[in-house]
Amino acid sequence: MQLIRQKSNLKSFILMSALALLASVPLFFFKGTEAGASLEAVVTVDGEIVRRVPLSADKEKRFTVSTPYGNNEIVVRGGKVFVEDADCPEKVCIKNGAISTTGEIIACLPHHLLLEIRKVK
Amino acid sequence: MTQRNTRKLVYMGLLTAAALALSFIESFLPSPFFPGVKLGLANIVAITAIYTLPRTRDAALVVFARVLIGGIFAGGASIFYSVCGAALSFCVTVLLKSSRAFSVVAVSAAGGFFHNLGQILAASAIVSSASLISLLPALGIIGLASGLAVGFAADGMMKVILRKDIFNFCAEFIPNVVK
Repeated sequence: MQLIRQKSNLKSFILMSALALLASVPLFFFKGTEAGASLEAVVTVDGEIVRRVPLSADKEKRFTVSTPYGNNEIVVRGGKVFVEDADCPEKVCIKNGAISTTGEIIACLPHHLLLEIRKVK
Repeated sequence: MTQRNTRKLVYMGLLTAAALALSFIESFLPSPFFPGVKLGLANIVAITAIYTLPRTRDAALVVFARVLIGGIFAGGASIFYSVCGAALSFCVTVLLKSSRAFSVVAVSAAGGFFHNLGQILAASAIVSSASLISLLPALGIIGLASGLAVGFAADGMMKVILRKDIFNFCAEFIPNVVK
């Protein structure tokens, strides 16, 4: 008794390959860091830039971003940036760890906050 | 007709309960990928509902009942992202299924992909930025992979359900049954 007819494997394979290709499209827009490029950490809340900090700073930089939804304490240290503390319920932004190259991103969705790395223009 | 509807209702209730049980069990498992990213075991039921219920809206009822109740159990704001992911995934799955061109496993993999894409789009809307699309390579592939696993499981589950001697109370309205 064949209950659910087996469909064409070729079409199924093509469908999944097409989706895998579609998934990799952003890779071409968010290439890794080029050597010598100077980078900065950019903090946006609701799409508005609220703070830019160069990643190259020798000294550790620590600042608190206050959004209408809550606060995030962000640390820039040794060419990396991470969220050290936040008063959001799930702390996904803290668990995310540190980021250091373009295309990497830390999101704190409850606070509408994005922490991303861009090239200094 | 009334009896048929009652049986269908029982079957839909069983599916919803199974989905909630699966997401409850999953909440105890560590994420196989990275924190906050789930395998989506409950989608085994979503696929089963879409393939075995006679009407699309019956399947939609099961899927969204599970997302809403599951979201209330989990608490927090994650329900918004779940609804957006489930909505996009559901539409794509139904379309691909009705095209009759793809296997259950492939349809499920596509559903997993679009579930994650829907969540990325919802999150992008929340933070008013397109930058989150840079998560698509990782989350898209993870969605495909978990959808693949879910598809195999759903395929196996449907073979059991459609074996009439076990679930004969619902066999009368399940399409695709080759007698």
